[in-house]
Amino acid sequence: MYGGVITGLTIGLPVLDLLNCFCCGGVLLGGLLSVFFYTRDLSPEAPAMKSADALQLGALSGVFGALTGTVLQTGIVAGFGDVAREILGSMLTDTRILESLPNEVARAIEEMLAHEQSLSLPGVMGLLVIWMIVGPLFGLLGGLIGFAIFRPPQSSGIPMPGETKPSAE
Amino acid sequence: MKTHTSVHRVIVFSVWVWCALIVLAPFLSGSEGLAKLAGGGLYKFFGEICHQNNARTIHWGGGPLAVCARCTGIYGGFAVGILLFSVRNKWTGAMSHRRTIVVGALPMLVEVVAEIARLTEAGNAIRCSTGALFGLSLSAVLVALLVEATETLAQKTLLRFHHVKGPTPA
Repeated sequence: MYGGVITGLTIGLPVLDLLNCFCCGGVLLGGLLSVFFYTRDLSPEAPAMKSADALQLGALSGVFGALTGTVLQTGIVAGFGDVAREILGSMLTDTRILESLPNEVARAIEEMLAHEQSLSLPGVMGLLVIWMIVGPLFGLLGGLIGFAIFRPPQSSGIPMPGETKPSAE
Repeated sequence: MKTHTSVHRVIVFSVWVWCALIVLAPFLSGSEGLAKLAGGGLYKFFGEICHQNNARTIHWGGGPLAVCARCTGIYGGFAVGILLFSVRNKWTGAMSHRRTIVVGALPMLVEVVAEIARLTEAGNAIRCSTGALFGLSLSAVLVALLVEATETLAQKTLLRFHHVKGPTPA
């Protein structure tokens, strides 16, 4: 749930959505954190988390994030228009952050800020379709990365394709 | 066993299709009619997950690839790694998962920080190479987990389906 909210915020909010410019970093983070929160709240008596659970958790956070993110983004554009981007633009100009960035990056940010967002039903539907593909896909990868990082260390290895599984004799 | 191998094949195929779409985008958008439209669609799709800065993107086939040089490296490294680590799976167990990810990400992070601090202006080749290292390290960690998780889910779904349908009469 928290992972899904984080994913949604990184998709929908104007500044945070820059995270997704790095190979869907925001969605990956959402999947990873959903596994982190799940393992943290898991009671000691509960069975250990499996990779399949992490995959499902990550994918679900991606789906939830795609839905909430699209709604949030649409709501912001409908309610405030490009105000959010204007605020961001003036903030960057006032703090002179752009001057400290490499020229190419500064130019890319300026181009992005100049890009006007319009609201139309096909546009919103297109956005939803894209995020409903990308969200679960990167979310499940984030979930598996989270599983690899946060699971307790164990000795048994996972059999690879073409390798025989250890039998339970 | 058979499921295990076929699941792996499906994953490898999907990853390579993803990479092929990135490379196909400039070729498609350079042609006419429906192909041009598909190329535009690919740029739009990948534009949601990458900044597509022209100067930071590898050009091929008369246009920029659908994602930047660093992302191209990450996806390319992952695609190569997913083949490599299924052939030589002993390499994946050499380091802990955390260490593998950190070691793989380190060159890329150093390069990003150096660029932000204006210590160096890395070219696309360096961005792509450090990204590829990160992609390789991710595949070393994820390939086995991905296959195992997908196989478990597939078996669960089959069992549920079998349970709903009931056992077939002998």
